[in-house]
Amino acid sequence: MINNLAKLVINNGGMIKPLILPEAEGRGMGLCNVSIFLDDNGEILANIRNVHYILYHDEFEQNFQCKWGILSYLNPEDDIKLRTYNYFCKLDPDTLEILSSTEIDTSKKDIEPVWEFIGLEDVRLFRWEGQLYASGVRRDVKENGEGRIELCKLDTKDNKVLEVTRDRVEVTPHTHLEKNWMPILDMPFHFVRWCNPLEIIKVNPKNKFIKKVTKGRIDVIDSEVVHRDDTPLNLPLGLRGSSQVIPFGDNGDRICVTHETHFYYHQNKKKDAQYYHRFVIWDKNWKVKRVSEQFKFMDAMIEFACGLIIKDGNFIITYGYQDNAAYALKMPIKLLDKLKWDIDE
Amino acid sequence: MNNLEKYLHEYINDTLDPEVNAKLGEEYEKQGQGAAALSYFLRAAELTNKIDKEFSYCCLLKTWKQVHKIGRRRKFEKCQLELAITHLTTRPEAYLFLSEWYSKNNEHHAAYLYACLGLKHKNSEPLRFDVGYPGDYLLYFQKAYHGWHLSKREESKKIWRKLGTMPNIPLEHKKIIEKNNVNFGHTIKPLQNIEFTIQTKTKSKHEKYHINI
Repeated sequence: MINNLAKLVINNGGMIKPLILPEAEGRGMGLCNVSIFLDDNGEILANIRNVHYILYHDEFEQNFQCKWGILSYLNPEDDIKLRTYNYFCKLDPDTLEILSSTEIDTSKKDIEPVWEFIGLEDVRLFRWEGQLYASGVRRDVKENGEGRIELCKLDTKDNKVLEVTRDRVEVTPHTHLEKNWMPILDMPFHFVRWCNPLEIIKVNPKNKFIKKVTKGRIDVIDSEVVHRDDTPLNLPLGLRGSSQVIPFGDNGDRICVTHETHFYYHQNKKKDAQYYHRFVIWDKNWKVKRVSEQFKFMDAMIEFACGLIIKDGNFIITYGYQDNAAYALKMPIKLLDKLKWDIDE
Repeated sequence: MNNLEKYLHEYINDTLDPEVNAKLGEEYEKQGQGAAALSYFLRAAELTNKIDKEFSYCCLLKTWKQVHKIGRRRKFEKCQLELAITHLTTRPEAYLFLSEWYSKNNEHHAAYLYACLGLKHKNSEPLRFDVGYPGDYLLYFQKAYHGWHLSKREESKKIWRKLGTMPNIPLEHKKIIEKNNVNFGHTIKPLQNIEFTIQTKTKSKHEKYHINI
C-alpha cells in the first residue's frame, strides 16, 4: 500500500494545489470531497463541498479524544445538523488556482428538510449530451433519512450557478441508502452503482413523476440495472465509488478512482475508520483489466476523492483530507507504472 | 510558492514531522481555514505527546482556538481546554481561557478559581505558537472582577490598583481598568468586565434553507 501518493507524485513531476474558499464563504469550516471536471471548452470546473462541521479526528495513539470521542463531527451545538453547501469553482488550467467560486443556488428546488443530513452530499460534476450535471446523495426529504442519488441540471449564467432540475433516482428493489454512484462520462445517464461485483445502472430522466413527501413535492425518476457481473474480485474490502468513470486510452478502456472504508471500534468503543483509494481500469466491455494497490493521498486516516480528469498527460485527482481541507493533485499518467497492481489481467 | 504551499510540500515530504504539521496548521489558520488548521495541529499534538509536552499542549490549545474563532461549540471548547490542562497543568493559558468561558456564563466561582489557578503559573515563557494568550494581566483582571462578585472587595481593590500600574496592557482593557479603579468604592454597581463575544446562530450566514412553497 502507498500511504502518501502525493509524495510519489511530487517527486515525479506532478504537483499539488490546496483548494481554499475565502473565509467569508467557507466560514472556517470543512472544505472537502472536491469533484473536478474538464469541460468541453477546456475550462476546469470543480465543486467543493463545504460542510457545517469541523471534523475532529485524533490519529496515531489517540490520546486526545474530545468531548465526544476521537472521531467527532463538531456541528454547531445549537444546530446539530450535518449541513452541506456546494461551491462551484473555475480553476486555472495550469496552476489549478481557484479563479472564481460561487455557492450553487438550490432555491428553486429546495423543500424544508426533515432529516439531519441536509443538502446534496459528495457531488460529482459532469456533462451528458451537452448539459452540465451534478449528482450526489440527498437524505433530507424523508424522516427516516433514506438516501437517494439525485441528478441535477446546472445552469451557469451571469456568474451564478443555478440548480434548475432535481431528479431523485428511485431504485428497485427498495434500499435505504444509495450513495457514491459514479457517472460514466461517455455513457449518458449511466452510473457505476457498485464496483465489486460491477453493477451499472441506467437512469431514465424522461420517465419522471412527482411524489409527495413530508414537506413538499419532489421529482422522481426511475432506474434499471443494465449490467451486473456475477463474480466478485478477490479484495479485502468492498470497493465503493469515488470519482467519475472517464475514458482512458485509445481502446475504449475506462478508469476511475474508488475508495474503501475499514470501519472498526477503538478502545472506547467509538467508531473509527481508515479510508483507502485505488485506480480501477475496465476494458470497453467492462471486464476488469487492472486494480491498483490501495493508496492514501497524504497519510491521513480519512480522505475522500470525488473527481478525476485527464489533461495534457496528467490525471488531476481532487479529494478531501479529514473532511477539513481540499486538494487537487496533478499526477503524470506514466506514474501508473510505478504502482503495484493487485489485479493485472 | 506561498507559505501554505511551502509547508504543504514539507508536510508531504514528511507527514510525521510535528513541527511541519504545526506550521502547516498555522498557515491555514492565517488564511481563516480553521477546520484544516485543526487537523494539522491535532496531528502535531499527538506526534509530540511523549516528546515535548509543552509543544503538544500548545497544539491542543490551537485546536481549541480554531473552534473558538468559529464559535457555537461551547461544550467542545470547555472540554478541550480541560483536556489541555490535564495534559499539562503547569501553564497559565488554558486556565485563563476556561476562566473566560465561565465569565460568559457569569459563573463567578469557577471563573475566579481558574484565574487563581492560572496565576500560579504566571511569568511562563511564551508558547511556540500564538494561542491567543494576551498576558498574565488578564488572569489578574479575571481574579479582580470575579472576586468583586464574590465579596472579596479588598482583594479586588488591590488587584485593580496593581493592574493600573502594569505596562503593556492593550488600550481598551486599560480604559476598563482605569474606570474600575475610579469607580471602586464609589458605586454599588458591578464593575465593568471585558465583553467576550459569543457567536450566535443569528450571526451565521448559512442557517436558512430555502423553502419553495
